[in-house]
Amino acid sequence: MKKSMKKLLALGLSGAMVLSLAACGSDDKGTTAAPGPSGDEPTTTAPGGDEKVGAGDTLVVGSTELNGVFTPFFYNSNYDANVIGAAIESICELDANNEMVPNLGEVTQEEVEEDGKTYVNYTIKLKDGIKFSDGEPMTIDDVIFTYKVYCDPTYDGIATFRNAVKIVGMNEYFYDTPDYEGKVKEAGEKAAADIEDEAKFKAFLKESNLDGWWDGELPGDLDGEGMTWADYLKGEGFDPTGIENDADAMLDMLVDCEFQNYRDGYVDAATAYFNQQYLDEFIKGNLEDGVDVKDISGITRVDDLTCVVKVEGVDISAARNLGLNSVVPEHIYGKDYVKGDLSGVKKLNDTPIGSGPFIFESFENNVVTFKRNENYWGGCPKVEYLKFQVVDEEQKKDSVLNGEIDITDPSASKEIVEELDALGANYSLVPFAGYGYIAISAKNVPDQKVREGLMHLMTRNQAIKTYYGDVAHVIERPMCPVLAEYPTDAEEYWGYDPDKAVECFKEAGYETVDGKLMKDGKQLTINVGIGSAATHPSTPVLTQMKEDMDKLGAVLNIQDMDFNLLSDAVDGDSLDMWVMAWGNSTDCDLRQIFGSEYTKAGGSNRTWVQDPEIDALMEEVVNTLDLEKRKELVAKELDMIMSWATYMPVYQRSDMLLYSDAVNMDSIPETSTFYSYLNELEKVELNH
Amino acid sequence: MRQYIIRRILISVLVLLGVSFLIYGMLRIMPSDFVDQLTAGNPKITSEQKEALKEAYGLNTGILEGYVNWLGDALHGDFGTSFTYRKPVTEVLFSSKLWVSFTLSAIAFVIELIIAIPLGIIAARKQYSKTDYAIVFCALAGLSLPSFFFAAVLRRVFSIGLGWLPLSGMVTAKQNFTGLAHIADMGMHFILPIVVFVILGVGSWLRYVRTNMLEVLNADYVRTARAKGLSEHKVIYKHAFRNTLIPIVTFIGGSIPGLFSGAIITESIFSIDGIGKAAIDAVHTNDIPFLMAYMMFLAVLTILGTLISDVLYAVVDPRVRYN
Repeated sequence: MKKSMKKLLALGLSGAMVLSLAACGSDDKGTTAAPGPSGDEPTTTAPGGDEKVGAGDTLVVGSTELNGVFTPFFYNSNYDANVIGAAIESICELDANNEMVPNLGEVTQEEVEEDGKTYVNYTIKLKDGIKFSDGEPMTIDDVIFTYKVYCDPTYDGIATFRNAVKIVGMNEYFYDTPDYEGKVKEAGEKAAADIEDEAKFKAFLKESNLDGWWDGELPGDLDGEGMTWADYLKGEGFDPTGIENDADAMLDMLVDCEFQNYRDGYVDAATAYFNQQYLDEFIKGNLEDGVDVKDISGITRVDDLTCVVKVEGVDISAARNLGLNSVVPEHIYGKDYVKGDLSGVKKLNDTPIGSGPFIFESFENNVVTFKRNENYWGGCPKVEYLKFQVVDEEQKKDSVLNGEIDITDPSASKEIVEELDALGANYSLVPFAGYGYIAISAKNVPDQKVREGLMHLMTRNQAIKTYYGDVAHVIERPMCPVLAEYPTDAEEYWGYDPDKAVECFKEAGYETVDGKLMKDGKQLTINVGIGSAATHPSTPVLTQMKEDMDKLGAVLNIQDMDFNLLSDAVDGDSLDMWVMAWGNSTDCDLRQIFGSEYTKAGGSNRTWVQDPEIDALMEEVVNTLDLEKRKELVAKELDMIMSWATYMPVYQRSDMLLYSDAVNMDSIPETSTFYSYLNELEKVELNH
Repeated sequence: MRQYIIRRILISVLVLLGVSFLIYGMLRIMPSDFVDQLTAGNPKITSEQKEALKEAYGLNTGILEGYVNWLGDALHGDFGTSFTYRKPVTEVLFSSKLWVSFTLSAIAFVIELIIAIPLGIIAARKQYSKTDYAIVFCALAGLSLPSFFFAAVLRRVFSIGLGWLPLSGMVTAKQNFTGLAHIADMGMHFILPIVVFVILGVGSWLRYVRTNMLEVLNADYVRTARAKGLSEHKVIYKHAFRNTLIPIVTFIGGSIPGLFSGAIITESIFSIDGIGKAAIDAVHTNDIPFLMAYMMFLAVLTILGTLISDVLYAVVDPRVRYN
């Protein structure tokens, strides 16, 4: 016992010593040229033996996280996407002004009329002579293969390609059903028949928990004032005596009640439900009996470098969805691929291979290593090694100033800008492709006048100025201002004016009773949710609002919530008002945020803007190819959305890119929201 | 003894079942899920796609159904695919992450013992002296330091100020070290995190050693030993210390599983690709398969750890008998 104990101790000790000795060793050989207290940058030279590559030949990019999912099909973080971009390129790319420009190839389009329907043929043509990093030439088959992976029935990544572009034959391919239209029709007919069947209808009511109304909680509180399920049933002429505490029996009785008294109100939901069930039945499992539909009929291969994609209707984002796709080598990614089995593609999740300027070597110790692709079609990259290293958000700035990292993206704040200016460091500030907003639910605050009153109580300028300085600015319409369609001349729609707010509340029927703003015996009370209120730029807007509302005798409950809880509450329509932000808005299609049909559960229209006129306008916008015309329509559409008084756009902030002294700033392109050094990795140079 | 161990193992299986259900239930009750988080703020995702994703990730089931599915797969050795890393969780769990965390903790652990045992003995021998107070004060101070604060101070001094040690990360990405130079480079990066571990962890060990030593020093047989005229050195190290070892060894046995759990804060601030960082990220993203595997792994280790320490207790102390 004693001996083994000693041995163990000795082992541990020697281990620790070896480590610390080794550490000293590297110190001795000179990782540092003793930086003086004056703050000289430590010049790094490789310690003995390994002087193959000098520091000047390695560009290090700092990333907040790296999940190691380095495939264009399945990545879910932007940092992984940047890594993928070094090895895999897309057909086209966005330039600094958000215009799509050719890269590996180009996309052209042509409108055609067939059987009274409008189609657009997109011709994708690759440049001649592009080779993947393994030397194989790139052909149009690689492009088509990439599309097919996104459209595979078992695809479970977050890319929206399949739904975003209405390629002819997509449904037939996805559901592997040659006669897709026929199946849909059949499902519709069967669903219509089921509606008439009482037993099936009741089964639907029970299965769907009365279309989501029944929450299974007893006694229940239906109107916020203590009305129980039992009370409701009594009111409808049923007798729930004895089953007040039996949830199952209660649900059964409610089903009977709803069927008897309100069947018609459930018909739409029931039809959709039956329809979906039949569709699931007809369409699912079609792959199990072998592949019936091998290709997407709307995609035609013309020659080795060209294909034509036929898309239903005119849609401004279709060209982008087709053109901004990555191209991966089919002979590698598709080696084991058959429709319905992506396991072969997934095997390459951690090793990206493509035609890009760099060739993936490894991902270990939180560092991704790339070596340059000497045969890159755009010219041999300037740096020999490119590395992506994980660095904690808090250490980004110091790591760059210390010279450990060359380029990274610390979150931009007033303080960091001041500090970097004082140090004379190189950085770019580019507007973020999104915006922050305060929303009011038209469902929970149905009175337009009340919403207008609330809008008149929001004062944004001071809050944003104080928080961000010049790093963000106030915006006036709910759309990302870097988009070409954004109406730059738009003026403040509501404006801060407590007097007008009072007028609005009065018009809505509120009166001041005993210092309280009351209507029908109830005080005006608004619940607003915000995430991390202590550090949120919009918090001062809410606190000012609360103060004003206190004076008026109304109540604003500010609820500081965890982001997950907040998004749950927003999705569940349980808040009157909330503070959030949109990201990833790179086109002017606002249908999902303000379209009537997206008010359904799971949709993104949680402010419940339901206006056929706005719907029609938004539809027109995405079908209008002419930019000037589109701009006009967008301005009109945004004004109409503002008039609903549900959306107060607050600010657009900036992202920062910070460069170390080692980076040759002449090799960094003009940086915008859509374009940065990542688009020109091969050109980035380091000072020697 | 054998019977005792078998009974304990059988009970452990039940405990693990209960634990796994509790963890799974709690993870599923957490507001929002992986798909919600992934799609939040992205206006292009349709509700249909969200539903399809939830189905693909097995998040559209009830808690009980989901648990039964998970358990069924787990009993067949299939712990699922991590949502975040898109790899089998067992591959993620038993990757370099685990060994990085273990190496860091193990080195720190050994250093802690090397410091704590002698200092604890000295403090006990000179109870209520200035030395004792100084040692106990330092131990308590280390124990009370928040790791992120202490790390920031160390970094300010040794990385930014003196430039001796790297700020964060595991290797110098600017260089392409191989072989010994690579190991040395990693060693340099691990010095600060290990110092943080040791300073924060040494206090509890030190107090444990001191208390146990004090207890033993007051025992009759120590007085007897002294009365026999044995040298103080012999009394302390042969008679007293060996008896102090009994509780310490069992305590060490119980601590081994903790070495695998990783250190959430320290790993995060030093950008170390360890299991603790992975776990906290998984909590943030609701990566249920990974969290389940990680926590079950820890649960198994904890149960094993207590079992081992109980057995060790019987080994080092002949008076202990389990029936």
